[in-house]
Amino acid sequence: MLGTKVKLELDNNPEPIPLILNGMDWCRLDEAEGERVYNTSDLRLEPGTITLLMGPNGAGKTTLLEMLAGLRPPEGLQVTYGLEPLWQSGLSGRLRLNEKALRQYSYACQSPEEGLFARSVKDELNYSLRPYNLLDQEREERRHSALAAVGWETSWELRDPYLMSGGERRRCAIASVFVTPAPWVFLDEPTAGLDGAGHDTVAMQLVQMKKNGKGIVMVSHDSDWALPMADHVMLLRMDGSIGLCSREKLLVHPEWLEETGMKVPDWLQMAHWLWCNGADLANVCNPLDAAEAWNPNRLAGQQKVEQQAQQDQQQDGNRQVQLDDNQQDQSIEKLEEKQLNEQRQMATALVRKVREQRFKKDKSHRLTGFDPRSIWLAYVLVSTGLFLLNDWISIGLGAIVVGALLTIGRVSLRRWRGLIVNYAVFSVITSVIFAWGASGSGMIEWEAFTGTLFTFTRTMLILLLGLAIPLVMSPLSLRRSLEQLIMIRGTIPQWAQRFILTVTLMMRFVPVLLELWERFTRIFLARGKTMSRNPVAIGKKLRDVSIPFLLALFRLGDEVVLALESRGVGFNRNPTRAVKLMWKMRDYGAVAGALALAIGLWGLANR
Amino acid sequence: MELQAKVPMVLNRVSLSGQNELGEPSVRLEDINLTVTPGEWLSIVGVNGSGKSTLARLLAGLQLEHSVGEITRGFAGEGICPIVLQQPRAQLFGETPREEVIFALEWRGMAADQIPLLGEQALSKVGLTELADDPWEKLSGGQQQLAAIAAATACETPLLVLDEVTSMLDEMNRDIVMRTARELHKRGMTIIWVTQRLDELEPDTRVVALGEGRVIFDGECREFLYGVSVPGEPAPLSPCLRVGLRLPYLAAMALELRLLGKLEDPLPLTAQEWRKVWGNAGDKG
Repeated sequence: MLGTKVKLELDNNPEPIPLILNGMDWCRLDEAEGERVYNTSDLRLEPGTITLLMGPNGAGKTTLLEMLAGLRPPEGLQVTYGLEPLWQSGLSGRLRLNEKALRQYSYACQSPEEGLFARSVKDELNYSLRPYNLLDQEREERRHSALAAVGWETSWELRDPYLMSGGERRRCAIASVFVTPAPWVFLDEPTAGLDGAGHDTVAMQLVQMKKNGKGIVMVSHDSDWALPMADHVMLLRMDGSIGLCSREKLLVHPEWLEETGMKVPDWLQMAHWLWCNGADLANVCNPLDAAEAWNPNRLAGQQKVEQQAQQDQQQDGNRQVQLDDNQQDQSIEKLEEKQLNEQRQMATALVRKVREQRFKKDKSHRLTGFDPRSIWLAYVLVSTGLFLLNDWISIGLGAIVVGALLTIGRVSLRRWRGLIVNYAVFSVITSVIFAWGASGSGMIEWEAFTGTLFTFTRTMLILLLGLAIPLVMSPLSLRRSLEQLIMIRGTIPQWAQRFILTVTLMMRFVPVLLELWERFTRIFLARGKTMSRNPVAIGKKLRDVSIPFLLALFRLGDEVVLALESRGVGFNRNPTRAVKLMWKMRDYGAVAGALALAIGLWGLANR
Repeated sequence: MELQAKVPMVLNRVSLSGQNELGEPSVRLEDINLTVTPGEWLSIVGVNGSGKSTLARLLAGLQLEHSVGEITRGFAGEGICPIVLQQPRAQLFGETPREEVIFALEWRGMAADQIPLLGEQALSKVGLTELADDPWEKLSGGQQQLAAIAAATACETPLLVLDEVTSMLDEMNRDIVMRTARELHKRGMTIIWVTQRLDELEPDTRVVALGEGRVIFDGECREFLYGVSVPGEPAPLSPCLRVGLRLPYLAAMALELRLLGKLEDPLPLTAQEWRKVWGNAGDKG
């Protein structure tokens, strides 16, 4: 009895370990202005603290959280939990996730309830506990305290998450994050969509976990909810560098948010004024304490403002003095508006710059100037030529042609890498099995093998060219070109129109679906914490990822249908066509070239 | 047509029941009475699952077939009104803002020779002229939402419904989207703004708060946050808390200040009002 009790206490207080980041530009903002020293090593987050990660849209807050959790390639960022590095180089020299490090955190992504898949709350919680090899009794204790943390009795264990409301599902998902003994907890917008009571419950639980020595890193746009309990603030800039400061310092220097490319929220401005006018920093974060401290006394205010003006070398002291002066209200409004506009322009320019840098890497293709119909026709011609190839030598030449076409057109097939690799593996395995079956003697018959592989390879060449089409043509312009190709006397049969729209929209959503699938794969890794690649593990992964994926797909489908309806699609039988495609000389050139290639390939096959 | 433009949209005892994932019936809206006046800005708030999205869709003229009760569409007309949703990725069908707007105009059946000009106008209304031919990856979340708004409002439309369009945006992007919506409103468009973020509420606009599918509050924003205090009676409970939403910092502080006797009605709401209150109090002290 005594033994179990001791063990439980140990688990409730997981061994505190720091989280250390290396390889990221960061500086401490707390020190005096002008002397910011940038470092790339040893950004330490201490256990028993709450860190709030703030930054403008697109700076990569979620990406950073996912990197901490090992759900994205490290890209030079070394994350270490205590002594355990998150990534280790394996025998082959490739980086592999360290399962011991994965067990050091628990991660609630945005809308975590979308990742639920079990048929009872109990199963869901047990799933999160599985990587930790706990005794049954301990698991039960943990489950019950996690349920209590979200305000539920133990009887909720048997409830089915699918029969719950959205808010209840969120609670279940949060409970399954709180249930683990991991010393670090990451939360991405934990309160989005929660009601007032939910905000309070989560806040109380986070403060409790902090007292128990856990470290917490979170992203939240409800800054007036999150900042009061944060010990530190990490300001993530568009260029990926980080400014670290304490909550108190941010209250003194709200302009640091503007430097980071964000707007200072009104409430924070108010808390700052209160401090400027003599309120205690410890009180200004809580609105009730702040009301208590509300004592607009000009003299005290003036004094502190002057002090600060000296400190900041008049940098923004001017503004505070003006803010106290309501006679100048109008001009201040204008001044603020001007500042905001400048800020906005700066931020937009910054977003642009970073985005442009990112996009420089993948150069755009060269096919934009062509009529989509000519690209389409050329594709049909060349693939017909490829299809006629009948021996390995001509296939080799065909491969060179395909490679040359993709290179000349500057088309990168990187987006389809996974698909291409899978297809290649599938072809080889199928050919082996076929050759093994064909021999009938348990030996692999070489000719059967090469014969099957040949067919696969030829199809692969056509596939590679075909995969390039959605990359060089937007689905809507593809739709336009198909419709104009089959137009008979200015009209298109109703069924064809519908079919083409469906197909092109499906193409449009392929990247969205891939993104969704990756999202649930990440949730699976964050919860399951297993890297094993045996067939059983892969089968389980498929199941655990595909259920939430399909549900998300239905929701997405609902929204797409709504959006289409509101655009009038489906009601209007004969939409107008604003853009008439025009053939140019180069289009004739492209088709002629493709025809010549096709004839050449045919000649090659019949030499 | 002229007359029709001034007739309000009226929902009279409208209920709507749907099905949950098991196919069991569940009530999503119950006994809604609501009047939308042409040209107004109406904010709809409520916690998740309160029915605010369902109501927004109903007001846009979608999913009417499942509803019972009487709906007079008035100025909004009989067709479906444009609605912009939370996730940009589910509602953008083109690859660039221009393609998106043209797609919308084509399906609205505009004359082909007018479409390029109309598209240009729609893009400039939301300030996307410069970015018209950039792919989505180059646009921020806010700019993607602007493109969706441009596509939705490319044709003259009396009513625009925006369903939690800022929930995935930071403050700066949110400002841009809200400003654009306000400009459309100034041009005479009726705006239904569904949100869960109370700091988006404009001080003197109308707020409708939903709870469990019912209208719990319908009135001015200030009243929604602070309630109406009656002299001689205890301080009123904020309708905002009644529908289960979290009071933002400034509103919570204002209520506490009233309780402590440091402030009196009307309590401040905007940054400007707060500054004024602060200045006056300072003068007294």
